[in-house]
Amino acid sequence: MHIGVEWFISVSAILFGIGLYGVFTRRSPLILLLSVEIMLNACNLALISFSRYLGEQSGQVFALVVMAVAASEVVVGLGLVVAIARRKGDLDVDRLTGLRH
Amino acid sequence: MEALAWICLFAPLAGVVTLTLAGSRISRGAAAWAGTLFAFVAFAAAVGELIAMLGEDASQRAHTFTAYTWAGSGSFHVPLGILVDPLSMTEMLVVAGVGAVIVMYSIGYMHGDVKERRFFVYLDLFVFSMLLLVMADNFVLLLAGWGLVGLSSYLLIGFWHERPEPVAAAKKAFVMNAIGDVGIAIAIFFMVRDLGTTDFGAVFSAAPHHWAKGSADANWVAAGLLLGALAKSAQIPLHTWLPDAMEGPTPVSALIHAATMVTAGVYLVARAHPLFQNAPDILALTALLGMATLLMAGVIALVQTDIKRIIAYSTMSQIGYMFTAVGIGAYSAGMFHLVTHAFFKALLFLGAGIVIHALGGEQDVRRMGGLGAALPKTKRLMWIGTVALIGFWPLSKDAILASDLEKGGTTATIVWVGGLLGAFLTGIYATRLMRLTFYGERSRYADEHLHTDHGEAPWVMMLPVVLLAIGTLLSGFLAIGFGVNQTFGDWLASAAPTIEPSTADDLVTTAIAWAVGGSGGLLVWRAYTQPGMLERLKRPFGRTPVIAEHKFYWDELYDSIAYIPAAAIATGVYRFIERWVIWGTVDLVAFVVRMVARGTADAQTGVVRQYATVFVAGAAVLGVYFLSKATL
Repeated sequence: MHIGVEWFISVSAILFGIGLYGVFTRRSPLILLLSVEIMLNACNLALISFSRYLGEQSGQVFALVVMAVAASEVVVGLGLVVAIARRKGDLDVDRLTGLRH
Repeated sequence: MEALAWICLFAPLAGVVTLTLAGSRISRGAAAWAGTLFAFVAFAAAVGELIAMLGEDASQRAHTFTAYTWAGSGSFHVPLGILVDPLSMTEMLVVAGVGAVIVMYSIGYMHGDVKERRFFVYLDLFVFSMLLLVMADNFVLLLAGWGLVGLSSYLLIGFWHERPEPVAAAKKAFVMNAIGDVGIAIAIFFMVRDLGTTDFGAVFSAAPHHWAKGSADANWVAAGLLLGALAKSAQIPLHTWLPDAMEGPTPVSALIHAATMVTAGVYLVARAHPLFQNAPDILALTALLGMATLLMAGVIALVQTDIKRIIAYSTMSQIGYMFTAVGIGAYSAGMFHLVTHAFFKALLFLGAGIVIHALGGEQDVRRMGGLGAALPKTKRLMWIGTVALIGFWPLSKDAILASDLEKGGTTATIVWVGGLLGAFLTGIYATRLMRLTFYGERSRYADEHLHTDHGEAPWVMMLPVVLLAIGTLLSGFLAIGFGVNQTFGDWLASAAPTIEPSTADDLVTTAIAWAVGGSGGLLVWRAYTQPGMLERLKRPFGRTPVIAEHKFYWDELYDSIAYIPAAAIATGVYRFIERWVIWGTVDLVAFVVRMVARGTADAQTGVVRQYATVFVAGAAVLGVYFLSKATL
């Protein structure tokens, strides 16, 4: 059985929606980071699907680059989360408004 | 003898590098002697080169040595090349010879100065720069040397930079010389544009074919070179820096501002004479400006009271003679006066330096007087210089004037009369200097400050003066004139032609020059001996002496045509353009930014999820937009 590209894109869109929902509804910065990761991987899936569909390798390369960036982002993000937790003991993003005007 | 020429050029530079690197690791005395040694090496190499050249046939004496291509662009090349021919050989000997002797004198003169090592570095740098100037085989390299001597001159005039006057004098000299450098640069631009080369030989052979005689281009080239020569040689209208340059140490005045650098303008005109012959109007202008300078400087020298400034104005006047010589086409006569002048003027400066040294730094002749008894050797040696300056022997000034008479025509005749008038002035100011310094009653100041406990001067100072006196006397034999001996003219014939005056012209001119020079000297002697005579002599001239004391108001003139308008324009630009347009624009930009920011800053709530919402909303809008444009 042949599975068309539209299936992969659908899964990708669903994953992206899950991630977006997480970003909007959750308050813990850890979960926020996780949600962002899900969205990034949804993008990766879309990139690789199209890459395969079009027979074009550059989509795979993009996906690898996105993974590298995502890994770095998580390192920085977790570092910030740990630092904020140590400093404030409170991890509600709605209350972390120190960058307000 | 290629190696000797390069040694001559680079020995002083080696001195600069050595002394700079050695720094305070060697004693001051060692640095002074090392600096002197490097200068003498250059002189020895020059003498070796001369011996080699004398062994060659007269037509085979021009040699070009090229080290490498210094700068190149397309077909245009500037080699690091040197030209050794009789003209540059003459200059090499003068620069390295007189230079070495004066560097030696400095050992005594600068002894004990805290910056002694640096002084010798600068002196060696100057000797190198001057040698580069006279040995270059193209105009670009010549301009490099030209600029470097300007730099060394600047450093040495301002050597005692703790006082404000030397600093101001150094700046003035540098700026005025920069004006001249621009002139030479413009001449070089013409050469590059029309001839595609700056090599002396190529330029001189190609110039008459590209630039018609007396055409605008020919005049521009010659005028540019003349501007450089006028600035470097302190001729009207770029002369006012030279008297101020006397703020530098006396050996500097002797070396740079009497013997070598200030005569570079004469060398330039003689070297580039094919270009000047191609522009007869500019050549005539050279002669007339030289005559104007020699008369004006002669008049100012009559009323100066600073011993070094009297000699400085005398230098200016003597270079005026050289300019009149090259201006009428008597190039080797001008060069001959350059050589003899280098000896006797350096002699006078170094003699004055001994006097100043003995009086603990005093330079005002009114505070001297009667020093002959205390400084008998100096007095006798300076008399040799004075006799040479008035023109009794060597006969270099007389040779110039005789060439004027031989040449004939309006310009040369005017210059001849002016030159003889100048000889009268020379007789007066030269004798006045000796009279005020060494004769008459000794002033109270001199009584209190004269210190000659260790003799007149240390031997390192006295020996150079003796050597220069011998040089003055011997240099006279290079050319005697009267058809007796024209060695110098023949020697330079291939590089710098001359006008050979007839014996009759020579005799007449020399007789008149001796008579007016001698009578000027006698007149001033009597004026200072007989009470009241000085006032009687001054009376018919009214206010002229006062005008002369103010140096004919040249500085004030420059202030009013250059400084005051420039300052007024700058103030105007500051008040209206800078304050309103520039500051106003900056303030306006800041104001707009502040207003916009005040309106939008409230959007910054710091809530991450709010930012995310806006971000997603924006992305959604973009997505809808692109989907609506997409053609499936």
